[in-house]
Amino acid sequence: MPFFEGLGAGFRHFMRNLLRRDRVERELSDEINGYVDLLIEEKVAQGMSRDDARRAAQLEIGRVHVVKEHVRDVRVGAWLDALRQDVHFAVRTLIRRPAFALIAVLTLGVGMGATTAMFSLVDGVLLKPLPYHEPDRLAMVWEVRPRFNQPRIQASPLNYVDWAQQVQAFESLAAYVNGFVNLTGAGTPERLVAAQVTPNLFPTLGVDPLVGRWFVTPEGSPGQTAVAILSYDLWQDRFGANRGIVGQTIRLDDQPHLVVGVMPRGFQFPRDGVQAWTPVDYAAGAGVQAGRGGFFLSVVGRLKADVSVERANTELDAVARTLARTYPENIDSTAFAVPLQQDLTRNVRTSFLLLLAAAVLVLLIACANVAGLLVTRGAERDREFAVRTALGGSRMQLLRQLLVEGLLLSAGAAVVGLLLATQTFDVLETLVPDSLRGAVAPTLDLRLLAVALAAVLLTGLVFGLVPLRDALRMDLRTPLNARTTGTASGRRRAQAALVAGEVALAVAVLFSTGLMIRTILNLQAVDPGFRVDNVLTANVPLTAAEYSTPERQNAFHREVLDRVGRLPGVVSAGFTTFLPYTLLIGAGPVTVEGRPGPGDGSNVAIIRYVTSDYLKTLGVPLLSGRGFSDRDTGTPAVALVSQRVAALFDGDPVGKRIAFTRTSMTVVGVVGDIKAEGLEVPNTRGTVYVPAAQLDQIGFFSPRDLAIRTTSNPAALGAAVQREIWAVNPNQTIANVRTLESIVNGQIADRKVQTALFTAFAGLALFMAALGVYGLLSFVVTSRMRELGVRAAMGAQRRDLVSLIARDSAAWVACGLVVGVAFAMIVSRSMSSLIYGVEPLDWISLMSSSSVLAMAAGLAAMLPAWRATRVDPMTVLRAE
Amino acid sequence: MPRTDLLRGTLDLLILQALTLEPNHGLGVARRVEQITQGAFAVNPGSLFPALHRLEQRGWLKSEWGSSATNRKAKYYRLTAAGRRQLRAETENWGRIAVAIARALRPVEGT
Repeated sequence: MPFFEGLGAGFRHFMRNLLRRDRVERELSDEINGYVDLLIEEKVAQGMSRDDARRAAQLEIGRVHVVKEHVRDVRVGAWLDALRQDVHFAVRTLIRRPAFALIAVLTLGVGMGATTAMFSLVDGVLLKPLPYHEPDRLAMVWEVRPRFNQPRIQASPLNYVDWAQQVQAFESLAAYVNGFVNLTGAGTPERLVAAQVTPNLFPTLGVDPLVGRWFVTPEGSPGQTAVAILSYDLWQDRFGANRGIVGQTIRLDDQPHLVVGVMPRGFQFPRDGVQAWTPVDYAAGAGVQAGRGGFFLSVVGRLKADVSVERANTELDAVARTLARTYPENIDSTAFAVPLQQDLTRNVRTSFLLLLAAAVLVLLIACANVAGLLVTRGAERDREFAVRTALGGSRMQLLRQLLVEGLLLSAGAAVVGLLLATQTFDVLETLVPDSLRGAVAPTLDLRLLAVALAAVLLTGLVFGLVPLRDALRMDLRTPLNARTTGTASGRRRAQAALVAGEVALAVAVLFSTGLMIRTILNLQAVDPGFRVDNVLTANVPLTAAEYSTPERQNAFHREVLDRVGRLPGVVSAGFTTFLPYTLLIGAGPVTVEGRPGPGDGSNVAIIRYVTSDYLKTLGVPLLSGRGFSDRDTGTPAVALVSQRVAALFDGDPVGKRIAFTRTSMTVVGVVGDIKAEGLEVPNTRGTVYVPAAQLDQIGFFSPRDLAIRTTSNPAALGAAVQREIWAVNPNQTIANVRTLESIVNGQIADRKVQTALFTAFAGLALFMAALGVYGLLSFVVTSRMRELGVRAAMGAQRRDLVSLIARDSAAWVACGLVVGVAFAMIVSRSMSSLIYGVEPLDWISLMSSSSVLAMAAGLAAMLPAWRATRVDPMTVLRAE
Repeated sequence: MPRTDLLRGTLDLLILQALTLEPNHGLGVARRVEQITQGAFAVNPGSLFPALHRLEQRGWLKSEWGSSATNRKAKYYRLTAAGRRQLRAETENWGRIAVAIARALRPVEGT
């Protein structure tokens, strides 16, 4: 195979030329010297004298270094050698201007890093398919009840069953409820993150268990053997990854459950950290007592192949409307389906896309900035190029060198960008919605890095080649003789336009950040309806085995509260079913005695069973009537209602009766509403508080969350509180010991991270824009130095000089500001869903962002302006 | 097969031909080319050395250090098997081209 032989020889020589350069060169010298010697001998043999022969031989061979150069040119890998020289030269050039190189690499790198990181987030969360079988066919189904003033609510069990039977668009429709169970038995008691799911949930998602099987009907129906499926992590940590666990019985909430399966690693549906699943089959009669007025089911369905979400929605709507006509409790209710991924990411989609947009703007500003630097730098290099052209450098060589310089800068920027991007993943991970965490994660996206790199390269090429264009066009003698002014003014215009663009983009980023900051401030100022400070909380779930009756539970609560209350620094303490913002379930329709239920769901209230001091501990104000006392046990059944529930009554509710399920209670007082559904969500549901001592059965509503008001730092009390609880029952599980403040802050934690990112981007944009202004003015001063000198010599005042320098630039910056404000007004429209308590066209943000930029520009202009005033006419004129 | 321009290809061909009988050093190759072309081609070192190195990198020649008849150290080039095949192919090729060109340049008959 001659071709391969040739290839082999070529490769051998390539490696030799590359790695043993010295030896190859030495051999070449030897060979040529040998040639000369032989030539001399030949001539001597022909009768010449040795000296004549030497001269003749040297004449014949010509310049040895030219011969060698020709040989080097034909060597395989000669291009590599040329490249090495170019890189070497480029590095030297860049090092001669370290400030330029540093600024270019850092600004581009930061821009690339920000863009890459944000895209990784968007890609991981919004774009990457969910880890389920054919995830495109999965959709969530929600109810809509106009009276609730909420875009979506969970489904009631009976409605879910009707949908599942009547809507043909779905291959299967599954439902689930999030919750917790206590795992007891072998080892320490543990509170598990759990979900109660319909048996068809796993087939609907299409995820096979790692060990064992899915739930099968009739599991989950009343009277069937209780079964459970475990998560991979629980199976690993608690059961030693023993495959034999399937078929064994474990105790969940003190009921024996047969383990039927273990899900694979990373399976986290419906939420992060879920550890166990138990079945509940609504179709077989579970949850009937909740009727159609209690909404707590999340519903997820798999569309039949080739059925669109739109078609499913049409069908779903028709079915829901029929149900609404048939059942009074369903009045006006409709239902809709939305693709699962879209649903899970609905709260973050806008903010992620905007953050990505902000990062792209930062990258654009960085590109414009470096482009500006390259343009001015081109002015300084005219001479260099002219000299090199005059000395015989080819255009190709100049071009190649500019390309190499651009590549080097881009490569440096890429390294900085990569490092930055990977450093941010931990922060970004906190932004992934809970329902998706674990399933998706921001990872370094090479595709985007490539795109960002291409953008940076393009900038370097386009603007790096500008000086070359000038160099090729110009009369060689001009730059060698004197400084040109013609190309300089063209360059000034190009750079000024770039700076104006930077300013415009920066205004948009600053403005968006202003809106986010105002939103955070507004949210922090929202009154949740209770006092957030100085409260310690803990989750203390009681097991039905140890505390099988309400009386036993009450006794436990009394003893714990008594002990905790005696701790130094404790003001008051109380138990409740669920603390605000921990679980939003446990609501149902309440009816005012003597009035028919409105039947539209507007009478749905949150129900909480609390001990007597709970409301005082949280600082929920008593508005009329009386609070609970320790005497509120047994009969008569009493309740406190919040204002929104009070509004259901005609006049003062105190003394009247209210019913929840079959329990009828006398209202003894009215308390304030709390923002139970979220700080930024308008209140739609009031709360009914019932004394824990009057709870007639243990179960869902049993108090389990403890709140303790303290005189000072509540977190310091954590250990003491746990000690007191364990003094009552050494086996009691205690979870989530944290301050109320941290729970409330959790409401705006995502927003805070987003705002921090926006702020970082805004800071970068501001800095780069200021840098651009500085670069522009410095260039103006340098290129007009002679004019300044002449004017100074003619008696121009300092302010004249400054205005000469700054006038044009100020106009460009102002132009950028105007365009930026217009741009910001367009951007703001897409931000409306992200902001709270502030108009999208908030003039305060608009004014402050543009004035901050104007100020930064002014500051950046000061140093060059100062230099303009320091021009010494004599120096300048002498240089002529 | 990469196309080489006519003259460079010609020199390569002549060098290969010059080495068919025995290995030789640079000067020897140059003289042999002059000899076999009866002085039509004078090979100067500026073309000779690049050509030799190019042919060696293609695997058509192999070089080793040796001593000349006058006991001078010199680099000797030798034709490889691949070089011989190349020479054969190029010679045929050259023949075709020569015939074609000769035909093309023949005075037009019978105007």
